[in-house]
Amino acid sequence: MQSLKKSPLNEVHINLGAKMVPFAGWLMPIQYSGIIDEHLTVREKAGLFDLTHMGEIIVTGPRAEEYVQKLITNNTAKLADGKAFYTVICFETGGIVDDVIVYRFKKDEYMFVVNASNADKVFAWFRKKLIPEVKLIDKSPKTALLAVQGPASEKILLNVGLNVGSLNYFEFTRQTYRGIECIIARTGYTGEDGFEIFFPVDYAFSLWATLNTAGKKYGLKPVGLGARDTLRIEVGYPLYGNEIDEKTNPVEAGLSWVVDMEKDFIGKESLKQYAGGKTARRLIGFRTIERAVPRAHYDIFSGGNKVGYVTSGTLSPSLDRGIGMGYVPAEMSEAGSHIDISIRGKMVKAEIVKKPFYTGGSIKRDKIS
Amino acid sequence: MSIPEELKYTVSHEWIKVKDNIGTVGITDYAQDKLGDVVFVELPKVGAELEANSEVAVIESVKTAADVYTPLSGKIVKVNTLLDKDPSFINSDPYNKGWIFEIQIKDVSELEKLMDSTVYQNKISED
Repeated sequence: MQSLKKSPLNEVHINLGAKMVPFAGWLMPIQYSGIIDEHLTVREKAGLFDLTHMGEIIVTGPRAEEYVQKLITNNTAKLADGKAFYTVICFETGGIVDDVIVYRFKKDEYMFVVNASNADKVFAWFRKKLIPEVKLIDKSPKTALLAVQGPASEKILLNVGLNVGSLNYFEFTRQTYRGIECIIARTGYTGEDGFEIFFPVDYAFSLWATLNTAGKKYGLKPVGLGARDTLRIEVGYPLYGNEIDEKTNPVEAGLSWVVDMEKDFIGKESLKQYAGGKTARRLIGFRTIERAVPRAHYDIFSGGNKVGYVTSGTLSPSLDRGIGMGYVPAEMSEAGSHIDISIRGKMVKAEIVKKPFYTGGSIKRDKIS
Repeated sequence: MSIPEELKYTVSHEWIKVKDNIGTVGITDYAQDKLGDVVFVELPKVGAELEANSEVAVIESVKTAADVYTPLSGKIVKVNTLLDKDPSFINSDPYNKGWIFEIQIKDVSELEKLMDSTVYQNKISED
């Protein structure tokens, strides 16, 4: 077995009593105080996440914009310096290479934040599609990523002297903080207001300690990957490997909002067949009628027939109800329809509902430009 | 990790406390710690007659679902309905409020196959 990569904060997590688990080739904390406690802390106060496993790829050069435009389904015309957006990267087949956030530093310089599980694959894909006058730099090994998420996030960052008050949702700034070159973005994966801070790995310990100490009086706690998953499920965000993968297209996954069919990009020809949202299956959100715990890979039934499967599921800590996502035939995907989830051999009734499941988050959606 | 001396243990991390002919069963502190936050317990049916080591209940945590096995053969005589309302007693008090069911023991000699606290302690330290 290939040895696991360790975060520079590995010792810190262990000393905090974290349970460490292998995740995408890394040894990362799955929980500290407990998934439910950490989850509710992020919803009510703030959580501190070590996300150093995420990959960062820099794309620079005179033809960078043209290159990025070709790789992604979203349109770079929507970006400006200091702005970021969510997008997917497709194969020619329309299947998804990865879902990423693209940050524009300048017209000829971008940063892609990619899933740890896909980092090598994405970099190889970028190299394969490389054009002259564009340079790729894999910054992952030298970049740490901490996230502060939750309604108290802004107060905590301002308290330690990070200058983030003027940032809107999906905007970022580059600033030097106590000698540390940071990229601070108002982005996240929790449905709450919050920030992601990219900086050189050597400073991981000091920045973690600063945030964790200053955050205490605002109720901040360290949060692991377990709660990161339940938080993102509650707001219906897809996870690569669950809702989307190489055999999934962005239209059936409900991601048409990041696909611009008016521009040219890899995979566009294949996606044309789904014009108007015509796919055989659709990703749905569902809520169990009684208290139950749906999980990935459980079968979905309708009228006694197997019609689909669950991609992610959990007992929602905020709603105290089983929630999940899954694929069903498009004609059965209407909100309000009833389905059954086969949970350990028993049929549990569920209702198809619109995502997000949890709508009380602190994200300043009105600030989306 | 708490492992009370007066209890007997299984390889699948259940504990049993025997008084007269009745065994009270739950899962160990070690097991609840491995599972994490328990959110749902599917209790056995009172009156069910079961062979030793058969599946009797299911514990669902946020992370996973785990079967509970009865350490001994017998008839289920009582279940802890408190867990319907608050399954987290399995985490907070696994040996008391977190008990799962009581079983009327069919064959007391089966007890000899179970581990005492020292053997169980050794077993989990190998895991």
